[in-house]
Amino acid sequence: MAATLYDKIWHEHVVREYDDGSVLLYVDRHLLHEVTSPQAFEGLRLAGRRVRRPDLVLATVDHNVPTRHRDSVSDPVAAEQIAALQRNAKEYGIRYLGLSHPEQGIVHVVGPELGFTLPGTTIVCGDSHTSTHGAFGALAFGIGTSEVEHVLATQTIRIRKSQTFRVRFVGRLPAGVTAKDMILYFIGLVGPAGGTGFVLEFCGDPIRALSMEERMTVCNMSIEAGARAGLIAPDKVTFDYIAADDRPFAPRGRALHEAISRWEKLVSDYDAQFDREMELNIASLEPQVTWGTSPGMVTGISGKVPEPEEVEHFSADDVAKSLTYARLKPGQKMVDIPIDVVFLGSCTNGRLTDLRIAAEILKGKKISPHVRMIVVPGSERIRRHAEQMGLDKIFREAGAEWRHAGCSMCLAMNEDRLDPGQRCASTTNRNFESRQGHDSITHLVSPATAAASAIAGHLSDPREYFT
Amino acid sequence: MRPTTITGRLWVLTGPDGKLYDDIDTDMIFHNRYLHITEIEQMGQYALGNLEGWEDFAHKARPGDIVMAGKNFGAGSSRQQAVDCFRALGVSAIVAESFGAIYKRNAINSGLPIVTLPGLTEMAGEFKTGDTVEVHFETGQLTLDGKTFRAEPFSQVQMDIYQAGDLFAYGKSLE
Repeated sequence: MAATLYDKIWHEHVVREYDDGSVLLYVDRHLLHEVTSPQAFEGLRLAGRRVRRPDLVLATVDHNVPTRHRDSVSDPVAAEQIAALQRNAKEYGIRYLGLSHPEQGIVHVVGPELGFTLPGTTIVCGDSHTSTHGAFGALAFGIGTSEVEHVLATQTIRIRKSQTFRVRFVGRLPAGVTAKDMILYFIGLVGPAGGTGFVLEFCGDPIRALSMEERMTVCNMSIEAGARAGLIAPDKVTFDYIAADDRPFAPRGRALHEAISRWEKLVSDYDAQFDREMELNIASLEPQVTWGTSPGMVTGISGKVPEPEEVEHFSADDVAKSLTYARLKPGQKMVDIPIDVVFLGSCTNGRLTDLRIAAEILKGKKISPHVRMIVVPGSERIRRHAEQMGLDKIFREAGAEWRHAGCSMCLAMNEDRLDPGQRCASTTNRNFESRQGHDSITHLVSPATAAASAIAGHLSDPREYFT
Repeated sequence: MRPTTITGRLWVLTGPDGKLYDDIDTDMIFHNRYLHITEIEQMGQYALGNLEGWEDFAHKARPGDIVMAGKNFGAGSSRQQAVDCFRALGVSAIVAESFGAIYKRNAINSGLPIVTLPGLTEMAGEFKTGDTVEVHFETGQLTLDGKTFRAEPFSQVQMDIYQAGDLFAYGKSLE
């Protein structure tokens, strides 16, 4: 029978089927960070259980680490949470990328970088943006802390199969328009619950044309459409990425060749049936920017703040409430909205490709004197590579701050946060109320749009830099 | 045995416009800045602390209360605190038109009763804060002043986990 990519990965991992239709699914890879793991270890300890396969677990600190320097964590509760993960990792024999480790970084950045993320695997993490790893053709999804404990103890998870939703992109992506704009556009079309109950599979020539880093941006935000996971079938781009140097967990030599011949079969059969399908033409796509308090509240950069009645997927009341919060009025042009802060980073857009495109725009220029810009690489490895390429110098000379790796201002759990009323052009994934600091306002954008906006001092179209 | 029928005082989560809140995300339920907290007892005080108009919910709620919201309650993050803060307050059930995918699993695994009531938005006018509502987990029947509403009954595994206490107690009971 014809099978989707999702079906194929699913069937390879079913341990047991239950009468109610759910299955026990084997978990190949388990990623941990400091925020959703302490309670899980505590539960494990109370139950007197061990970690079943510590070799399949990778832990890193990212959510509340300082990014200015690495010598101290000022918030005592954050410091304790970081220390707790270190203790737990040591006690249970789990690999741990601590604050001073050269490979420390955001969990969804370091997994792929180290070759821990591989095609055809099942990957879970107590973090909703685990969908990122789907870019490799891995079935990757976020779980709750209760499930982190269960996976630590059993290396399995009981789960029901999702429906499948194929998202086909067609057309050539215009210059200055990026993977981030593709996924924001999709979320705007289907709404924040449009993917609920589905695993998405992204396909089409524009997806094939993306680098691995860009594909991760697309899959990262699958969850913002409510989807369980996002998938992209692996191809030569994927295999070349895995075969690159410095991926210590990836297979090598003959093992890699054998793995690739298996991975090549990880595609949806041509006659496979999907529960939902959608085609998006991106030939004339504009850079996208959000105006409200949901990633689905999005428009093109040349667009205007909408009237409350004209937004699909949201009630007029919800839109009105969002606009009040964001201090915007219908009819305002997006490019007329002044900004106070630009944040470049996160598991969505904190990779080398992202830093590079922003640096290309900023090279030899200065950011607006009214704007503060913070650049936070997704991992310490990215930080080193960027420094080797001189990107840090470009950012600094433009007037931006160059930091160490972490989640930082994406959710403001460390000291990087906005003041009340401040407005930020942010390359992150959520523009929920107060996400980046109490009463702060977030506009989700691509790294290119972020850089162009930093120079202009207001939301700005990056395409002028690509002509 | 934990009770399969509960009666409690209702909190209908409405926005400034008086309408039922949709898409209450986990940042609104339990804000980022308190995610460092891992002691369940400490979490109750921050429940709904970032939801406009409901910042003082923790002070008003009493054990046994029932919370009601619109679509996609608990959208967003994996954080267990967004479930545990209600357990800490002794909230006896959350009724919503639908729940975020991860939130739903977190709640079921933690033994916090969540009840899906399809079409709730259209009949939201029937419910108001302070009403006393009865919820029957096995049949999914909600009763208010003699009127009944048809919610989804607990699934078997949801009931099993609920009766055991949480996912781990349930796992132990299978051994």
